[in-house]
Amino acid sequence: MTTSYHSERKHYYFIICLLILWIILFEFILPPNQILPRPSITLLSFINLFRDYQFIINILSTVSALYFSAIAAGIVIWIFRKYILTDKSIFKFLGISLGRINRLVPVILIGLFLIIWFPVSEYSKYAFMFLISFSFLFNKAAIELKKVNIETIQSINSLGADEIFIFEKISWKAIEPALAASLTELHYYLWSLLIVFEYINGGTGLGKLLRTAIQFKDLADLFVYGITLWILILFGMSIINYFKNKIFFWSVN
Amino acid sequence: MNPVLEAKNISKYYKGPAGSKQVIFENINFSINEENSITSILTPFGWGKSTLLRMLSGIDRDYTGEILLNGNIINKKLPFIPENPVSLPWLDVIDNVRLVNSLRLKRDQLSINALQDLIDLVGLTGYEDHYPFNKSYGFRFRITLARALVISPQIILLDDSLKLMDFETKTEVFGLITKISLARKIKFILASSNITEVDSISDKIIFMNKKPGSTAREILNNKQGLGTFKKEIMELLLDGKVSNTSNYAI
Repeated sequence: MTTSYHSERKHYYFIICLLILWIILFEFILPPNQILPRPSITLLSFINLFRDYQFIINILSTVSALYFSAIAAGIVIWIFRKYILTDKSIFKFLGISLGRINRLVPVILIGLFLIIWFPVSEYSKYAFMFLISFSFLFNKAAIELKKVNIETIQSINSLGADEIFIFEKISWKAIEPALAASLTELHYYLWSLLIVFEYINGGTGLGKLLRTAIQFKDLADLFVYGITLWILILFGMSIINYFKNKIFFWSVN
Repeated sequence: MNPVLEAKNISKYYKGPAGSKQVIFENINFSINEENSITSILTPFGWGKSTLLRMLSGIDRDYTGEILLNGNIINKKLPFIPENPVSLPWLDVIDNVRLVNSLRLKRDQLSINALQDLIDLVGLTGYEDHYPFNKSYGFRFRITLARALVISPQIILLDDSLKLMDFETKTEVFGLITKISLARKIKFILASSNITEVDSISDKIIFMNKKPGSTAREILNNKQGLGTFKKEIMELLLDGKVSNTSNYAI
């Protein structure tokens, strides 16, 4: 715990050093260039974003689409887990089969279809994020359920427990830490896909702002987006890690 | 004397890769009587003792022959404790023990005091709110044993459950099993490949042969103290009447 805390602090020191280096080099030493913007211009650009581009609304649009949809997908899987993830369920077979297609076809293609199917609206973004989160968590759960120690199941079964009891009280609980750990991966995955989705689809969101910045070749704006995204992702990760360590503290092996 | 548990001509096969019939066991016969409180099934390594215990437990019903409990074909399951004790790391000790209590009929459910008695019996008093995560095999075995006791079984099956414990813990657990067997009139069946282990704890050993698995001999404790079985088993092994010594832990 202490070691990981110190190692994390080292990373932050490193980032702070890079920021100081950027300020010294690009503000005072180097002439204006297309590599990185000047810190003073970046600051002005940051203020402009709030004033002219409804930055807060765009951030809220992206963040809410991502987290609400992912949470909704998690809740739906949790509620219907015994109907869709038990061995006898046809949904499990369908889900795993779809998951295999998913490995061959890039997910962003599904997103492109959604853009065509749905009118340009906020709902298509929510639907896309829900679909991606649901299929990711469903597949992860199905894979992890196969890894649950058979001896554990047999031992509880020998005490008179039926299939549903074992699924709910043993198998599902056994996979929860692995599911929680996979949220880190899902989190990065959703952020990347959502930015691309908004970039293509337009509407509101950070992806839309990113498209505008690229269109106008506005380096300072791009830089601000980068920093904002980094902070948002880092903040999201910290919350996920906090709950992961607090609630799913155990390891089965 | 009527046997409590009886295996009659038990055979198990599986289909090999080329569709050939592979024999795991053939015509296994043994019985466990009222006076046998701790019986060991001594098998060579890789013999299939877990498979046999799963069959005795009622988890695996894919075999030929008969398993009788109190003279009737077994129709309920017997508690099975695998090699790696099944303590659930997300539940504390008391919740681990009472997990299967809710499966029983309301009138048969144990009260909190009765559950506490079981925790006391397995020696976990004071650890009720501890989580088994990262705890020793001995600790986790005690939890698994207490949980099995909740359903008031007649027989408990142990699948080499002591193998992963250190000597000191093993000695404590031997004492615990003996105590529970006497106090609750419960019979234990331990499957193991360790001659010293079964010699230390059992009052009957069912000695199994290798390839195909079959019953070689049943040896009863003649009450002459520790080491009696070991001597007898070693004689059998050295005479070449059963598998050689390298197939066992001594």
